[in-house]
Amino acid sequence: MTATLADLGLVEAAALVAERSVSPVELVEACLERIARLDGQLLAFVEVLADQALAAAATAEREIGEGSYRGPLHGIPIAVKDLVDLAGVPTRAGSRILADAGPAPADAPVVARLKEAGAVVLGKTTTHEFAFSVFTPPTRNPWNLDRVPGGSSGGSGAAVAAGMAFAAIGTDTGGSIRIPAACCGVVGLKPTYGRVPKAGVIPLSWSLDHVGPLARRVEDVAVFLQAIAGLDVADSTTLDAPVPNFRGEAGRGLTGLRIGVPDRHFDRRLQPSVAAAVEAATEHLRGAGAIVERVAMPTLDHVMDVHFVTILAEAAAYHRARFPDRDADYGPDVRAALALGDRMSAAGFLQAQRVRRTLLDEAVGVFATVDVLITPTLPTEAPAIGQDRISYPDGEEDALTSLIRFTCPFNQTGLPAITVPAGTGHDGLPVGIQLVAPPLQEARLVRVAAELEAFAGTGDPRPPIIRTP
Amino acid sequence: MESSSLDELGQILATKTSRRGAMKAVAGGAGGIGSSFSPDRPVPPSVGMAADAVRDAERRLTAAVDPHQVPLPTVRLSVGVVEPGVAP
Repeated sequence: MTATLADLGLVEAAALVAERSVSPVELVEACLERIARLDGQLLAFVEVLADQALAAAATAEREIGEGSYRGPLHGIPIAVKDLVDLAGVPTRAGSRILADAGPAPADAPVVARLKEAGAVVLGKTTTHEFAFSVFTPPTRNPWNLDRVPGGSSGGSGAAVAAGMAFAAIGTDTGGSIRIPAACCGVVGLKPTYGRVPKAGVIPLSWSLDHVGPLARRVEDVAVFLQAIAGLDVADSTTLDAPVPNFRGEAGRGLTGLRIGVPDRHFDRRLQPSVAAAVEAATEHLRGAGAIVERVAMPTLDHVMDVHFVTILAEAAAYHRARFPDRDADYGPDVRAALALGDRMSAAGFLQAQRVRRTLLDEAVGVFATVDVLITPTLPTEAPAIGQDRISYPDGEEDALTSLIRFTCPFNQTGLPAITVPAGTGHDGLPVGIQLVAPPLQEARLVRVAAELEAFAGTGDPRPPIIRTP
Repeated sequence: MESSSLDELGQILATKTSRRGAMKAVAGGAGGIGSSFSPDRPVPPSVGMAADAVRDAERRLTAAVDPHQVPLPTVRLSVGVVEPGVAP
């Protein structure tokens, strides 16, 4: 199938809208056509708001025609993870617990900011129940319907990869933006903790939770982040920090930029084809003028312990009003996790926070000597649906641990991180490269990620399902 | 991370990966919340087993910090990990 409007990048589509050669209504219709054709297989959406989206697109078209163009999100169709409030639509978080939830009374601040920028909301995307894991049933991976899309923002990842939306909101507690982005071959950006408001978003683990974008191109996530970043006085976790132009460093080149390659943690249990992709990307950055050096972060040995202890305890606290009273209404994995969280000792939780502090101090020390870290986003390509364990040349481990092991350290430290596609691996599925920067340096991530995107950007980046008539 | 008990904990929490055959429970939606409730495998092993894994994790974390050098966490750490000395 030839590429259509739905396959454009967000910024590409925005340019056509700005010059009035394409109307927002045409963009929405292209996405709705793609949803009608593919979502019966992909199951990425839980709610499609076709009439509302067409009406909003018509309004955008009129405003732009009258000369009131708001910027690159004006008239662009996007999707919202069903963990985030969208006024007038229930937020069900993929759970029977919220099956009877009424319409959300107001937009979450991130949604309100996107609407203010002119974005058109197409619908709500599937999440793993309460964002608690990384497989997102029943959504399937557009690259291979027998594989998981990653999660917990799996619906957002699949929708963006399949051209059903130009971008989507995701949330990320242990990697839930970056994991589905890597599994589905798109770009995902987890901003600095506090950069984006979380009000109106159902928490999973509030000290680890982040909100951010998934889109098909690096410049697209930068534009999306531009709209949602900034202080929200109603949200005590947001930072009162200036919001720079996130594309402001693009095109500066990489000469002299110092790239750190963390040792040990990211070398273990790694598929050879993923290792080769990271190696090639790193060499490309070196060839572009960057200085590459190994860095030591020994506290990474403890990140899985910190992750499980923190997330289970904080989630158990959030769900205490409903659990265990309604335990039968939770899915079995969430039920087990909440029961474990209930058994967590306060001392154990505090020890986890102390180790987390050590990890943050270690990261700060590393960023005194390098500007950006590069790692694989995942050690493997997307696992098969039903695959509980993953084998590596040096051992095997459970699928959940595998998928979050490389991403969760940067939830614990709050550091900004981006994943960018870097070709395909042994099984023909996307491989992602993760870049990490010091606090508030998302523009630097965009600069380096754009260089990697250009390096990996040969061939058709679309999944086979949309290339097949 | 190398411990078999933590691996077991991850496996328990990962059981949802195998749920196939979704129910379409939300009117107007293709996926739906009912999809979470048609597992094709037994519910996870007893929580008691995994509680051992949590205890092991807590023990490892305790061993990982020097009580004289690492400050106790504060509320500030839990609400904003970007602190004045860290931000550029």
